Amino acid sequence: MKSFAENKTLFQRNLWDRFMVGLLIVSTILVMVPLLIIIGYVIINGISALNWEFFTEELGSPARAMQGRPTGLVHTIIGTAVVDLLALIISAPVGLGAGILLSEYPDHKLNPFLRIINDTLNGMPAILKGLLAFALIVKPMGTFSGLSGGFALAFVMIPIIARSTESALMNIPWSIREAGLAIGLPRWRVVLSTVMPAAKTGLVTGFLISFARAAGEAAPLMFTSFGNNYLPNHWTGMIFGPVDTLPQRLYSLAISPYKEWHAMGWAAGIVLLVFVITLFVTARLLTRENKYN
Amino acid sequence: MEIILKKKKMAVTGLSDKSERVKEGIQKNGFDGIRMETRNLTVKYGRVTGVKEISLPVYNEKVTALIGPSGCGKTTFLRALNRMHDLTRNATVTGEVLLDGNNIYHPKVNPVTIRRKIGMVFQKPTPFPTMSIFNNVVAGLKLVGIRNKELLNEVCEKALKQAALFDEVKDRLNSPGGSLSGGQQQRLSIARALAIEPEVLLMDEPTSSLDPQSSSRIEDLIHELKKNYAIVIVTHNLQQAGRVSDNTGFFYLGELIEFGETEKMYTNPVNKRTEEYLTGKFG
Amino acid sequence: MKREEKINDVLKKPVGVIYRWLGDRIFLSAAVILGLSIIFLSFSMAWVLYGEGRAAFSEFGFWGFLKGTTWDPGIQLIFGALPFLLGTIVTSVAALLIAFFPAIAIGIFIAEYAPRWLGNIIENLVHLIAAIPSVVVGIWGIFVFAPWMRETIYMPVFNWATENSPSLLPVLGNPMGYGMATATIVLALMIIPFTTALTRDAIRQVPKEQREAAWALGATRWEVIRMAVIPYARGGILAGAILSFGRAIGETMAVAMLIGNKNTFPFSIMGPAATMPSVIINEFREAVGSLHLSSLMAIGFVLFVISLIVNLVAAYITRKLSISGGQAV
Repeated sequence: MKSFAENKTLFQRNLWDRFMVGLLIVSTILVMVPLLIIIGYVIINGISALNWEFFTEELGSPARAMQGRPTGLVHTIIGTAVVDLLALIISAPVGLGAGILLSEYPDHKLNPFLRIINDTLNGMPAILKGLLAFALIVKPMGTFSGLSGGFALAFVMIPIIARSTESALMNIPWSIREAGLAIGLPRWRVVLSTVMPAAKTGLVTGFLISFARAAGEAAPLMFTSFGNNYLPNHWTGMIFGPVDTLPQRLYSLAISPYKEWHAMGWAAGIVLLVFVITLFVTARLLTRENKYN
Repeated sequence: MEIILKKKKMAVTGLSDKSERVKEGIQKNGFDGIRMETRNLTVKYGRVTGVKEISLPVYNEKVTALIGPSGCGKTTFLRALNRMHDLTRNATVTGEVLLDGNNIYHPKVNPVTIRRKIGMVFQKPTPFPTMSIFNNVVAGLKLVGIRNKELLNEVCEKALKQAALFDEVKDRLNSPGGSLSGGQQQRLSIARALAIEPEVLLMDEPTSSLDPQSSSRIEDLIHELKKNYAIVIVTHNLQQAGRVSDNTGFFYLGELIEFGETEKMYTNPVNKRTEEYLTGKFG
Repeated sequence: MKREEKINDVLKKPVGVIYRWLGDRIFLSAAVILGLSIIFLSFSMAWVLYGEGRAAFSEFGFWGFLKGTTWDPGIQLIFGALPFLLGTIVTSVAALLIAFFPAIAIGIFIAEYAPRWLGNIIENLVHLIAAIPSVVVGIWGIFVFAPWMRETIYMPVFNWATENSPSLLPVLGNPMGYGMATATIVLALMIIPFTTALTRDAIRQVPKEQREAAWALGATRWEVIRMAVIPYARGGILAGAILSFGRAIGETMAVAMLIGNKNTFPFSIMGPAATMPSVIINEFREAVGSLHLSSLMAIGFVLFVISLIVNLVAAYITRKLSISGGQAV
């Protein structure tokens, strides 16, 4: 009769099934809620500190905020745009080129190695990419600069773009390439004027995702673009001199001892969050559209 | 000894003794009695109709083959017989499927119990690749909490012997199920389905992914198994259907065009379409 | 249509050298050069970090640097990486332990149980949350989470310990809110979306046939997951966990903002500590001495080596435990 005791009835099995669903639902809620709370806090605290001056004034010294004079982060927002754009310009050709090599020349000898290296580079902490940009660019130039910040962020973006380009191009059936080659088009022409246009949405999505990832990174910028409380006197200062960027400024504001700056930190948080989420949602919507076509 | 184990097993699995049930069914329906029967069975995927108003009997100790060109709904029909469509997201099933006179789609019937009475073998071999051969075979028994090693060993050996695989694997029951060849994997899948002692065995093109030699072993196996089971087999291979089956149903565009004894249908089909298909004019 | 017209236009043109062989060569060479530049970048990262950190390694010896427990940039100019190494490992392992099961639970829930619409919503939310910048989580941690932890958990525990078992106090540490426990919990929250996404990907790889085989044996939903889904996806799930660990190791900003930044042993549960990325962030900008700078770079090199190992192990596991076509490879 011992063996009978080990028997599970259908009722017991269903009960166990129910129990597991319950457990899964509970843990899903337990995790999702605090994460959504973070977004909620940033929005609530940030909104109240967002005002007109935030987008029109420079930060200046802490005294400025403490005396109640208008301060803002206009130089940070412009600086972020410059550095992010530089990063995009630097990373796009490298990522695209490597992605094309991986997908369009699948038998190339370099590919297995390149794939491992690329994934490894992607897994490297962003702070190391900042150190790399520091050693490669800041040191020889002798100064912190927007350019080095752009390179640091580009190092973050390149492996992501390479991977997403590869998979976007891989999604295009081989028959399209064969059709092009069959009418006597050279390979480069097939890739540039049939495969890549067909994979357009996938390519753009990859760019947006990598951009969203890089735009939120502060660690690589701390010792490359460094930070700056003012707008540079001349626009070249944005590229060749120290530049302020949102994530790095947010960090500096948050760890500063001034209450007024904390409020501005929340405001910077909401701007950064909106920026990153917009990029992200656009990318998601594009993918969905792509699916239906 | 064997009798004791058998009684124990009855107690353990909670299933009534199979041969008893079969006897009951035979008394009810005569020796060639109807084991399963569908009545106006319709399966829809969203708005697309998979099969339409199929009424078809499945006899005791007989092999029923379902033939027809690909896409004609024979697999759809087969999957309706053990409620596999419950798992397809937009599939709806209407009509009745009777097992010993009871509708398996009755709202009070639990599909889990149904699937234990109606076993299924798939087109591709589906061993659980990380489980050992032994654990693959007894997977269905372990689900209901049977842990008795002696009993599991006995069932495993019996099922593997039924599936004509025992001699090939008896020395390596602990190696992973994925390590077998394709034909062996398929026989392992059959052994796994037999281990829970179903009443009806559904086979969905069980030989289509196998080489000819493995295929003929599986066909021999079907001949053996039919002594104890009612078997429904879907096949796109007309010769195979002719060799293994007693009854044949011809499906075309989601409808059952003709059903009858295989010999009669192959020599003297009633419907013109059936004739065209059997003579290779289409499909 | 447009594409065909384009192709026709091209065909009508006289065929130049660029269309015969030169174009393809240039194109392939460009792709190869760009691919090589990624490889160059990775190698230069190792080279640069080692090169810049060499001064520290030669001063203290490689193992000496790793085993050194003193970090004094002010007076003695002695640099040892052990506190940061341990701080990183402990916080990351603990964060992974906290995050692993909930993350897998969400992955299984959205893949197997949730109706499709709900699964999609949660999956998108998970991806969205993964996109929240580290500094944004950090500012929430500084102003909301750490104070809350101090009031609701650390202080009561601390007070209880003071009265009942004072011997626990050094283990618990200073309950100021910024410390190891806070950083670990936030770290866990931050890697959960990542682990979840990888778990989801791994489960997506499980063929329909495996599930159906389990269903056909009369398994309940949970039994299908236990019998067919999890064993099949285990390689991917494990690799995902390891990659999440790699994520946690390199996570910088939120940790630097919350861990309290204490450079010397002993660390305690609630008290401040430091990790390798956090010390680099905190001191790099202010480092004046070349040995100090070099030591920070050397820490970067150690971080590089650990990340490299973690990534390679994950890649190895993915390959080793991946199952193709129903056969274990």
